[in-house]
Amino acid sequence: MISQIIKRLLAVIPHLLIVTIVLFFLIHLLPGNAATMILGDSSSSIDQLQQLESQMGFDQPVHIQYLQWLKNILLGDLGTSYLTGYPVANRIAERLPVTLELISLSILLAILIGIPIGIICAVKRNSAIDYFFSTILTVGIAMPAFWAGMLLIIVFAINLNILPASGYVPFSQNPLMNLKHMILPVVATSISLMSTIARQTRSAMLDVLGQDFIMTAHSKGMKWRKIYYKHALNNALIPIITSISIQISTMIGGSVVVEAVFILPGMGKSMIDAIFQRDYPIVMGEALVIAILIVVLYLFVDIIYAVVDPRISYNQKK
Amino acid sequence: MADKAAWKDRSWYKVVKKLIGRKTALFGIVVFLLLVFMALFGNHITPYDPATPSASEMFQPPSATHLFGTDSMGRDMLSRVIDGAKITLIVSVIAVLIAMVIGTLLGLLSGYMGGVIDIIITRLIEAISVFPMILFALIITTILGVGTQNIMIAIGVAYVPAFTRIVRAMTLTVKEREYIDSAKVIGLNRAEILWRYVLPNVYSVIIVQASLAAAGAILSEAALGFMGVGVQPPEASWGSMLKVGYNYLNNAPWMSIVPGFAIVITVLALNLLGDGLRDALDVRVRAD
Repeated sequence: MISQIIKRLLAVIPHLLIVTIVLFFLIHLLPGNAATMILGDSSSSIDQLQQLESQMGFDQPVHIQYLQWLKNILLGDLGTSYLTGYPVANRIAERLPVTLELISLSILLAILIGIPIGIICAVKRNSAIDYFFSTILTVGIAMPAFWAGMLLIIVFAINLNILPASGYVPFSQNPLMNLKHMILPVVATSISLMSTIARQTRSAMLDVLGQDFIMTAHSKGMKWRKIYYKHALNNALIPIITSISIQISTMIGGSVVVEAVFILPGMGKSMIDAIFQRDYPIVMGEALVIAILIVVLYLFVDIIYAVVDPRISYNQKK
Repeated sequence: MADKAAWKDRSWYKVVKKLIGRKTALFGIVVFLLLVFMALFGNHITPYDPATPSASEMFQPPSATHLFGTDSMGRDMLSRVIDGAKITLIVSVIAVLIAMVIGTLLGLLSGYMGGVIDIIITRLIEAISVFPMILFALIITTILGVGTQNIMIAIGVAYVPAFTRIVRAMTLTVKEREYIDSAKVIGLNRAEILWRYVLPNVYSVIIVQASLAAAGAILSEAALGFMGVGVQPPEASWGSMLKVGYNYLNNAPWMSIVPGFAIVITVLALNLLGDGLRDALDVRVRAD
């Protein structure tokens, strides 16, 4: 089991490398670079520009620049922001907790609400409740996360005035205010994942509930609730987990725009700003962190697979 | 060959019939056709001119005269939404076409050739798809510049992995079939085999993926438009309307509700259409 995890961790590294290579070259195709942004458009001469560029290392061929960046990364140096001069690592350290909080709460909410709804729909199949929820879920998948956020702002912040429309308070500073600020963004981000999970749970549960062992358990006198949550759900988990992993990347993309809507000081918004400002080190550093985050999530999902389905670990052992 | 044509006619007919039979898929088709109609003839059915500002009618809530209210410049929202359908659909369709062509090509190559080519293409595709598509499309837009044309390319490129993966899987399935061996024995070269035998089988998978990708493309256009990198004024897509509406959530929420609602209905319709097509075409892909 441990060796599997280590193997998977190692496989992740070349994957990440390729991601960074693709990103690096893509970003360096951007017209203009931070030097032109710092000096402004017409106020400086070509000489000054070239001098600054060579100072910042832009005159070297792209692959040399990449190797330089890679070397720095491995030494723990994520680089310095061109615009502010502060280390990239600092900015990431400031922004990452916000994004992490948003994403983890969204996943949590999606699972906590999505699975029970899916189970209810499967159990009360074709009833009014099933149709009602299924319709909502189908709409939920079609909804852009940031628009859901805007709607939530309209209802809860503007009309009912019970929740703030934007801003962020760190958890350590004031837990209650932090949660108050995070509720709407989390709900908005989690909707698409929640809908996917619920639908998947419903169809997987329907498959499982049709099987014989369910009937056996019931005739032995087991309460329905225990049957659903203990026996049926276990078997249904695998397709559910598969659909989660497919949706994660989309959800993180959605969280980026949600950060913009609610003006949360997270990585997503930071990266968008950095892209517009041509601040390469920040874009590369944050892109790397996001990529690592997603890959770690996938890894996590893989591990959960192995835990849930003992067949998988047995096969690997051979 | 004449047999093949007759058979094809009949199977298409069956597919369409099966598709219409499902109510949800039917809803999808109807809405989609309605949208195409709006895109083509929008100019004639808008109650007001979507582009002319009117200072006296700013910020009007929905009423009998303005079904969806007016925006910050006094323009009728209903007309704006109908007009916006055109651009939104065009962006979505072209992006999907780009993704489809490139993705199918890569998928066919990767699946049929195997070996090193397969490994390179698969690794590249994996690397691209790890990344949230919105950020990827954003970076591409920043390289190429803002504007309608460029987000079509950006979204198209971002959706290539979806097509590549599924075409590759289908190609792998088809590759194992006997008639491929027969074709090789006859002496057809690789390109001909791909074109004549593999591709026709891959069609159904591509069509399903295309409608789902179109749905996603509209969502992506909305997000990019919201961030201001998409369609530029005076043109308006539903996404860029949301960008403007964001500033007026307080006094004119309908400016944001209406375009968003249009987006949701469209994406919903395309999703249902895709699901319906998947069932009607009865696609089965060998999982790899």
